[in-house]
Amino acid sequence: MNKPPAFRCTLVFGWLIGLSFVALALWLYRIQVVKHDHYRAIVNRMHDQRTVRAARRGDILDRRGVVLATSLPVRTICADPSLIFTQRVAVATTIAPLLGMEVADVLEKLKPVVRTNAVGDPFTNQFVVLKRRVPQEVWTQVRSAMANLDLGVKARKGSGLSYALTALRTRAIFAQEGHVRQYPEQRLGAHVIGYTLPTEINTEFGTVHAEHGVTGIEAVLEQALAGAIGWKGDGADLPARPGLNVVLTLDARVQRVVEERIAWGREHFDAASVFAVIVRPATGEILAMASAPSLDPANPGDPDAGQVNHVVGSLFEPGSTFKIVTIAAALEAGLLRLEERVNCHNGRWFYGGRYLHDYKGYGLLSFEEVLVKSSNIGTAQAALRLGPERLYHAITNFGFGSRTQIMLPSERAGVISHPRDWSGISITLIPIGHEVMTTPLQMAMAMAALGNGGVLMRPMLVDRLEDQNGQLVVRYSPVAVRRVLSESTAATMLRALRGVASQEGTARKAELELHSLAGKTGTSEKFFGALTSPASTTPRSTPSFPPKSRSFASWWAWTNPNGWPTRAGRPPA
Amino acid sequence: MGVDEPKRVAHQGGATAGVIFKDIAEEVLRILQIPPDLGPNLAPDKKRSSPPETAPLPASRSAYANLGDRREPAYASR
Repeated sequence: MNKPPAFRCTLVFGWLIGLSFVALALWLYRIQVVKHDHYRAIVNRMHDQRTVRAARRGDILDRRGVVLATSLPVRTICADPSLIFTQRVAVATTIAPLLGMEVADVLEKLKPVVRTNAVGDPFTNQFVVLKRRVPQEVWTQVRSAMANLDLGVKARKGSGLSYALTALRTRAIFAQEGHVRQYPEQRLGAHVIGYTLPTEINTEFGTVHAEHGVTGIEAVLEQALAGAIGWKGDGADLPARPGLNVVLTLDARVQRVVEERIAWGREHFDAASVFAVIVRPATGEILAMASAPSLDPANPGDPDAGQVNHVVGSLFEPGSTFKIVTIAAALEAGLLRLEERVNCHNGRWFYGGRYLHDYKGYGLLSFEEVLVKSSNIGTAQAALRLGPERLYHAITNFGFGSRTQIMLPSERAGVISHPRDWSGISITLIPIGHEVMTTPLQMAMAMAALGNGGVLMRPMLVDRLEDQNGQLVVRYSPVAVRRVLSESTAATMLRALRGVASQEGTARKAELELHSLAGKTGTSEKFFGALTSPASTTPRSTPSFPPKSRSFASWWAWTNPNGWPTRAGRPPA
Repeated sequence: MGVDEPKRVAHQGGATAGVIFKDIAEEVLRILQIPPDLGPNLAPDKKRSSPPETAPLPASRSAYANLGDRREPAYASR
């Protein structure tokens, strides 16, 4: 039976309508389900690019709360050329003066760049950076100027032109959050604090500008200082988590005194470098650590800057300051008494096929005088009583040859060879600080052990981590590495070393009027013109302030000074 | 002092640098408020007012002229 033509037409038309709906449903399924993630990412990029939230980097403070490094909020000013098009001149002339830029430069950056995407469709670039590190108040001015931008165009409300003008005024120029690192005390503690360099963190929602620690505490505690970025968009608002504040053991007042004096000393003696460290013996807390030449953390690329923290990163022959290790070890082993006399052979002693000299010719000296007058020959004979194995054990026991594990990068371990590799005269040279390489920090910690009753402490540079509200997050505790001497031996050594800073000793000009001072001087020819290690003060008559908690140990050195006086007594230049 | 080290510089470091050390040590002792432990009959203030036997770093004094102003932190304690 034949259907009427009208019915057939209706049937065909119905099929076509049905097929159209099926095709539409498949297309929607492809968009909504199959390509969901792809289009979601596009939308996110379009709408969320400007909502990444930078985390404020934590501050670095001294033990009393002086801010040594901090972060100030800044903006990176960006533009979306696809929203500007023909209004480039108006926009450029409006914002260029506010940004301190040339109009021509802004015009060039706002120039739209048309490219083709993967499927061949043309698109205009939507992101260009106009200027970085712009203060917040400048961004406020730019935003206000753009909102009031007069283009001489009247648009009907709700029209497409009205929408485009609104987009131009509110979204064409936008800002990304960021921070800039600043060092309020300039160079103070620069080698400890380190410095940062700007970096970009690319996320799914855009780019955020941050600072990344390169060296010093800035690098070692990068994770704690950096915090975590946040974002806002797609109905969610996840604020950034600011970094933690780092409270150092440094005392800015002490650090300043030390830095100013060593800078003066470097200039005065025309030395290649001068460095110093001051330690609390009882805890290992570093109160000051400085190297000259120093560096400006805000301008670390300065070619004249001293990039190396010599206190932890350089090795030197410690010279006569090393004699304390041998004498203390022999004293501890009961192989000598400080009042016992030893023949120093009038300053010239033949051993192992070579002559060993003293600065002055001495005959019989007590071992206390050996320390005070810094006799090489007397010290070498103490080492011979110990023998190579026990001497080596004493040296490594004091921490030489191992990193102290201070919280700083690039620390060096030092060099002390095993006795099997020693030459015939090593037993006489190592005790006087030759054929051994140490860091200044290792020497300071060894000296501090004498001031701490014979207990070697791990150097401590960070006291605690706090959140932005000052609430304690992590507190670091002093760590005793090991006992290297008995308390009585340490006390005996300190008593003897007081003579160094007396009229009889090698550091007589360091003698203090009101405080006792135990120390040891030294000179090493190859790497130093001289080095000095005045050591620890040990208050004796203040029972309310136990010596261990109210003293300090220090160590410093000059390298290659040209201005040392001669023996004839020429005053420092 | 090393085996063959020229005597010219031997321990002159200690002798000369001792002056600088003394200068630093006295400042550090003052900052850390470590009480005197020598000469119990000495009054610290009276003693400090007298000129030291060894004038420490006279050339440095001008450089340190403003030190008193800068000893306190430039930024307020937190």
